[in-house]
This record gives sequence, C-alpha cells and structure tokens, in this order.
Amino acid sequence: MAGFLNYFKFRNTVADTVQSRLLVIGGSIESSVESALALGLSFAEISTVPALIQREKAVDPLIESIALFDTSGRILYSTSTNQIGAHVAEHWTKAVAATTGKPHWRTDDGKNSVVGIGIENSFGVTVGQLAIRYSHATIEASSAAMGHRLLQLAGIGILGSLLFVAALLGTVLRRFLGRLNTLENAIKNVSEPASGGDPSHLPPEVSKPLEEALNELEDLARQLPTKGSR
Amino acid sequence: MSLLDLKRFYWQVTAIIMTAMILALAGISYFTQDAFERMLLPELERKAGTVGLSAASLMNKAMGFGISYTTLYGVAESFSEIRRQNPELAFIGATDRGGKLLFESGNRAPNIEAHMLATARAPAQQQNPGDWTTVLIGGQYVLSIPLRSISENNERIGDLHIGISQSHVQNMMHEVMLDIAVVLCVAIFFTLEVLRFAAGNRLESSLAMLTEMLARLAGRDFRRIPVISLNDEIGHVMQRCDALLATIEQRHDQLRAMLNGLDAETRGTLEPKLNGLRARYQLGQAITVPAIERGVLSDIRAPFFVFILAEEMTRSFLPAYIMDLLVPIQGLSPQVVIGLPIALFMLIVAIGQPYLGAWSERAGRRNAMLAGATLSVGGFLATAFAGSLYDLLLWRSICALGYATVFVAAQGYILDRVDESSRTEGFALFVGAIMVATICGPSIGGLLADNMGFRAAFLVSAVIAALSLLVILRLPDRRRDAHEEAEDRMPSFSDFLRLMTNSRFMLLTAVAAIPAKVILTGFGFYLVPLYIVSIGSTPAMAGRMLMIYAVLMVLIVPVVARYANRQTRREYLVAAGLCLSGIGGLLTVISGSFAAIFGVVILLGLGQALSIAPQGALVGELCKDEVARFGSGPVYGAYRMLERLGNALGPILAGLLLVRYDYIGAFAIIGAGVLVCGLIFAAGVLSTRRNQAVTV
Repeated sequence: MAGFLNYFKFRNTVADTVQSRLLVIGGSIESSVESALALGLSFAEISTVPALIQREKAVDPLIESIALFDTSGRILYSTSTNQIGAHVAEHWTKAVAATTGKPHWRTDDGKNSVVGIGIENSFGVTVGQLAIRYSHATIEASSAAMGHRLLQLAGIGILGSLLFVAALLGTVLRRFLGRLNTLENAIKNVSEPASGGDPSHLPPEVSKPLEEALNELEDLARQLPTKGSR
Repeated sequence: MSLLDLKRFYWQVTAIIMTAMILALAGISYFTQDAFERMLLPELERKAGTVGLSAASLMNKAMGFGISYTTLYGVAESFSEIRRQNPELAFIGATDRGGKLLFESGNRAPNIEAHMLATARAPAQQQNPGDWTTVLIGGQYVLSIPLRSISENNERIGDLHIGISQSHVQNMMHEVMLDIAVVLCVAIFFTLEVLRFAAGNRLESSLAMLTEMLARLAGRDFRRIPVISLNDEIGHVMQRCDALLATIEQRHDQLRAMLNGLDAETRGTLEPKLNGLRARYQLGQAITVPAIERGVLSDIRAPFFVFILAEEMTRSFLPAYIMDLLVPIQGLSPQVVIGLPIALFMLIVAIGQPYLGAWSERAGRRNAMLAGATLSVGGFLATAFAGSLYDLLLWRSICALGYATVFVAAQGYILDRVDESSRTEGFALFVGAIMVATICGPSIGGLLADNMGFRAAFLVSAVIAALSLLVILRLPDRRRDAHEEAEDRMPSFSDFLRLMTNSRFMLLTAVAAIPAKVILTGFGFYLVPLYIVSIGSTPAMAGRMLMIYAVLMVLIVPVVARYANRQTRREYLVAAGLCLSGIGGLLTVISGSFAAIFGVVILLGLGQALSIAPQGALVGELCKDEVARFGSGPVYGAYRMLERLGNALGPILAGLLLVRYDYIGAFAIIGAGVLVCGLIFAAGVLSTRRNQAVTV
C-alpha cells in the first residue's frame, strides 16, 4: 500500500512538473499573442503566430502540437497545419467550459494530454484558447522507473518482514508450546505423581483445589470400613 | 499458566507482526525518499531550463529595443514573478560575462559566487533544456544557462543561474510521509483484523476456552466439557485437565458404590460428606453449551468489517465527487444539492433498517447479507460510472439499501447467537468492526481518490464489497429461534405517537440524540470534507481528519462506556459531549484555519465519544415507564429511528446554512445549536429527576 501510494504520488508530481513546464512555454506564447491583440490586431490575423508556435514547439521535444482556437472551437493556428480550420475535439471545449476561476485547463487525449490557457484581449474578454498537446512518454518512462524501484523496495520490505516475523514468531511459539507441554505434564502429575511431571508448574490456584478434592476423596475412602471390619 | 500468560502470548504474536510492519514501512519510506529526489530531479532541471530560456527570451526582447543588458529595468521583479509562479525555484540570478551578479531574486545559496565565476570562465553548455545538469550548492540544485544576445550576433553576454530548492523536493515527501503514517495506522488496525480472522478466531477461542477451564478449576467447578474438539497443543492440555476431572469423578463414583453396600449407620455418616464434596466441586455434571458461540461470532466480524470498510472509504471524498457531477436543480442551491445524496443515504438507512431487520429474520441472516452486499457492489460500480447527479442519487440509494440490509442482518446474526449474558460481548464485536472500518476507511479512501481519482476509488470500494461477499458465503446460515425477541423492533404507529408526546423520551431524542447525529454527519460527512478541499487541501487530508475522529472514538468510547456503567448520572456525560461538540463548531469563529478544523474534529470526536454510550443507557433509565408500557423493543426502535433521522438531517441542514452563510457560519450555527441543546438537556434531565424524587 505504501509503495502504491508513493508510486501515484510520484506519477502525479512528475505530471504536474511537466505540465507546469509546458505552461511556462504557453505563458510566453500567450503574452506575445496578447501583446499583438493589444495593438488592435484581430485574433485571427496575427501573422507572427505561426512562426512563434513552431519556434516554441521546438523548445521541448515532448510537445506534439500547439494550437490556438477561437471561442467556437475553430482552430486558427496550429503547428499541425492540416488542422487549421477544423474544430477541436469536444472534450477540449468541455474542459475549457469546466474551467472556472482557474488559470488553465487540462484534458487527456488518449496517449497525450492537452493543457491550455485562455487568451484575453485588452478588455479582459476571452477571445480564444491556446492548447499545447504533449506526449505522456516522459511521465510513463519516469513512473515506470520509479514503479520498478518501489517494487524492489516493497519486495525487500516484505521479504525482510517475513523473515523477521518467522524468526521471532518461531521463538515465541516454541516457548509457548514448551509452557503448554509443562502445564500438561504438571496436570498429569496431580493424579499420577509417578508420571514425572513437575506439579509446581501448575498455578497454585488451580493445583490446590484439585489436590484438595483428591485428598478429600482419599480421606473418605480411609473412613470406609474395610471388608474385614464390617 | 494464568490468563495473563495466555493473553501475553497473543499480544506477543501481535507485537511481532506490528514491529515487522513498522520496520518495513520505515525502511521503504527512507529509501523511497532518496529515489523520489533522484528521479524527480531531471524533471525539475528540465523545467528550470525552460523557465530560464523563457526569462532569457524576455531579456532579449528588451535588448531588441536597444537597451543594454546591464541597464535592463525590472529584471529582478520579473524573476520574482517567475519564482512566485514556480515555488520550487529558490533563486534566480543573472551575471555578466565576468560572473558578476547583476540581477537576482530569492535566497542566494552560500558560496554560489564561486560557482558563478567558474561558470563564466567555462565554455558555454548546450542550448537545449534537457541537456543541462545541475550542481548542488548549499541546499539548492543550481542550473546555469548561458545568456546570449540576439542583437549581438548571439554572443554570450552572461549567465542565468536558477536554484531549485532541495527542501521543496523533501517537502513533497512530507505529504507522502503523512500518507505513510496514515497507512501505518490503518495497517495496524487492519492487521489486527486479519490476525483475528486468520489465526485469531481459532487461537483466541482456544485460549479463551483453556483460560475458562483453568478459571473453573481454580473456582472448584469440576464440571466437564462434553466434547473437546480441539486437537492442538491447547486441546491436549484441556484433554489432560478433563482426564484428571474424569479420574476424580470415577473415584467419587467408586466411593459411592462402595458406600451403597454399607450399613445405614455408616452411610448416614459418610454419605452427607460425599454429597457435600459432590456439590462443592459440582461433580458428575457437564458444562452446558457455551453462552456465546465465539468462533461463529468472530466469523461475522471479518465480512462485516470488510463491507463497512467499502462504504466508509467513500466518506472523505463523496462530497467532492458530488461537486464534480453537480448540475443545477431548479429551486435548490448547489450546497443543498451536494448534501442530497448523503442525506438520502442516511434516510434510507434510517427508515429501511427496522423493516429490513424483520425481512432478514425471515430470509435468513446470511442470505440477507449476501443480498445487501450484492446490491452494494452494484451500487458502487454504478456510482463509479455515474454520468450525472441524478444517476448518482439512484446509485447511492442502492448502496444505502445494501448497507442497511447488511447492517441489520449482521446485527441479527449476532443476536441470534448470544444470550442476555453475552449480549454486551456480541455487540462489542459488532461495534468494534464498525469503529475499525471508520478508522481505516475514510483515510484510505481519501488517499485513493487523491491519487487515482474519485471513480477509481469507487471501483476499489466495489471490489472490497465483493470481497466481503466471498467471506459471507462461508458463514453458516441458521434461522432465528422462535422464542427470541427481536431487538429494536419498530413500534406500532399509535405507540410511536404516544412516545413522541412523552416529554422524557423526547428530551432524550430531540434534544440529545438527534442533535448529536446532526452535528456528526453535518460536520464529519459534509462540512469538514468540503471545507478542507475549499481551503486548498486534498480529499486525503479530509480522510486523515475523519481518521482522527474515529481513533478518538475507539480509544475513548470503551472507557466512557465502563464509567457510564458504574455511575448513575449519565446525563452529565451526554450533556458534556453535546457541549464539547458544539464548542468545536464555534472554534471556527476564532479562526478558519486548518488548525481550527483540526480542533473541530478533535472536539467532535471527544463529544461523540462521551455521549454515545451513556445516551443508549439513558433510554432505559429515563424511559423506565415507557419500557414497562410498550416493551424495550419498540422504545429502542423508535429511539434508534429518530436518531438515524438526525443522520439524514445533518448534511441537509449544513447545506441550507451554507446557502445563507459561508462555511464558518454553518460550522458556528450548528455548533451553537448543539451547545444550547446540551445545556437544555442537562437542565431538562435535572428537572425530570427532581420531579421523580418529589413523586417518590
């Protein structure tokens, strides 16, 4: 369980680190686009964007594509040029819609994740979204390595604790069984003194009533007249 | 071998297993921390590289307007902003070609100046973020990136040094350490349960039987057990004891036979002695079947614990999951809607239990448990795939039906197998299973939800409930004996109405029992999980909080129960419990911090622990006349049902208060209300007792 929790913690931390790294790149594109919008350009007519997103995509090999789409979901710019004019997947727009009060959104796209930032004009109106699609490869590779290490640690931990338990439990169990055996012999000794058991191993509060009962019976037997005396 | 010795052996076994577990967890945690730091570092280096390139690009943009590098304005502020957005960065500094620091933000690592000078003299590294490596200087992993000016033909104009805080990585591990501490706590309780189930059932019952036998011998009770079925070492000792008793019995029979052949005078002298001996040592008698079927009762604990665990796991993250599925419902605020599935669950459990109890009696306890657990497995699976809040309401209702069925069937299973003298022991076993599940469930559920997501956590609950099915299948099925009376039987409608107009009964239920449940579910199942997430914490933390509550209950309830059994003024405990819980809610007025919520949970746990056991006992004490008139079943049945309605009321009331006020307001108003109820209850009981005294 501890290994399992550590694995997920590590995986989530790596995923968050990768995402925040890509958001740094996204933030740089966002500020450039918003500067252009501030100059009065329309979101669909910023000529520097295609070169900018190609340049930023090259910065990080993890990035599969960068796209900017308007509020209707139509892609205006993309590093995958064949996608320009198409609409983004529905789960992208759902992820955008679910973003309330958060600076960015995120959704999963099969083997890839998509992280996005809203683009606002000078009046604070959201005119579209910037989306960076990136591969899970790094996250998977790091998590697999960590998972392997945790598996080793868990294996060693389980094996070690089993050995520890076996060693100590064996000792305790032997001692306990030995005590039971002594107790058994002590009980035997009460009725058969020649049996070899040591009656002192029987707790006095137990042995005393037994011995007393036997003695009382023998006392009574002695009081019985023998056949000859009758 | 005394009872203490036998118990010591049992605890020695437990202690060995616990120690092994603690050592293994400590070792795993230590080495994990090392691996965590080592494997996370490359990712942090890459991120720092990207941040560095972004900062360099910003500086280049400014230099593109003709501003020289050394006179750039606002660089330190820009670095501070970057650090604010990336808290793992402890320091960012930019140097000139000679390694002299020009701009900086954050805490400079000791001796970093020497590193800056050395970097300035060394040839520039590659320009890709993935290719840079860090150097550990004074608790910071320092990444150094050459700064090149585009306007000066890509000439190197200095270096950018970014320090990643080593303690940031270690802080991440603190969260993991908390999780591991929770896992350890859960593992301890879980191991005890598994031990009890796997070895403990037999070992515990064998040890108990031997202990009882030795105790009987010490008490001069020489009755024999008809059959000693144990064939292990403990069985051998018992057989040896029995053989000794048989010898004594045979000797007695021999003497009696001899006596019968003697004259009347001798018989008259010796026979009374022999009879006295026979009576004193209870010779010639056999022990009747033990009052409590230990093994069988222990068998029910495992499946019941596993089943309750499945449901308890959802407590810490259910409100957050509902929030995810939230859809607007006309006329209802979102806060109330969030409380709906929780309240509906409680309502179904409250109303369903009396009827399901009767049904389980007819259908067979085991069959009823199987049906209930199957319903819950389906409910959990469907909840995991719920598409909207409406689905969720339906699936949670199915879970509630399953929960109520298993609960009453398990309770009935125990009642079928205990008599008056062993009832307390039977119920201790039942309540123990619930309490351990309450400790383990919310914390583990929170961790799972935090790491795997809500839906996956519900799937785990479904798997666990399915596991309970497998263990239930092993239970023997025995129909209830006709003469036994049902516990907590529902009163007839007219009896119920009469009880509702009875001031003593209503004082206990309306002023103590219901408010205690309202604050429990309102705080524990609704406000605390939601508030903790709202202040930036995680469902895992909500789970830890609920675990603390449960641990307090487990530790304090038995002590209070013993105390409450000894002393007659139980109302003080109930009133104190209510007041403490109420004061807990008022703590939030002083501070809405995490520490205050911690205080709320502690006081809630203390309050509930103080009042739960005495409340149950007070029903019989305060409502003596009612019990005599209606019977204990209907009085307790009505009391339990009203108490459970309080469970349903809690989340709804908290939601309604949240609509009108904020979290703090909701905590404070419920807290104040319960505090007032505590005071009214104390005053009311005192007045009732005074009237009773006057009447007497």
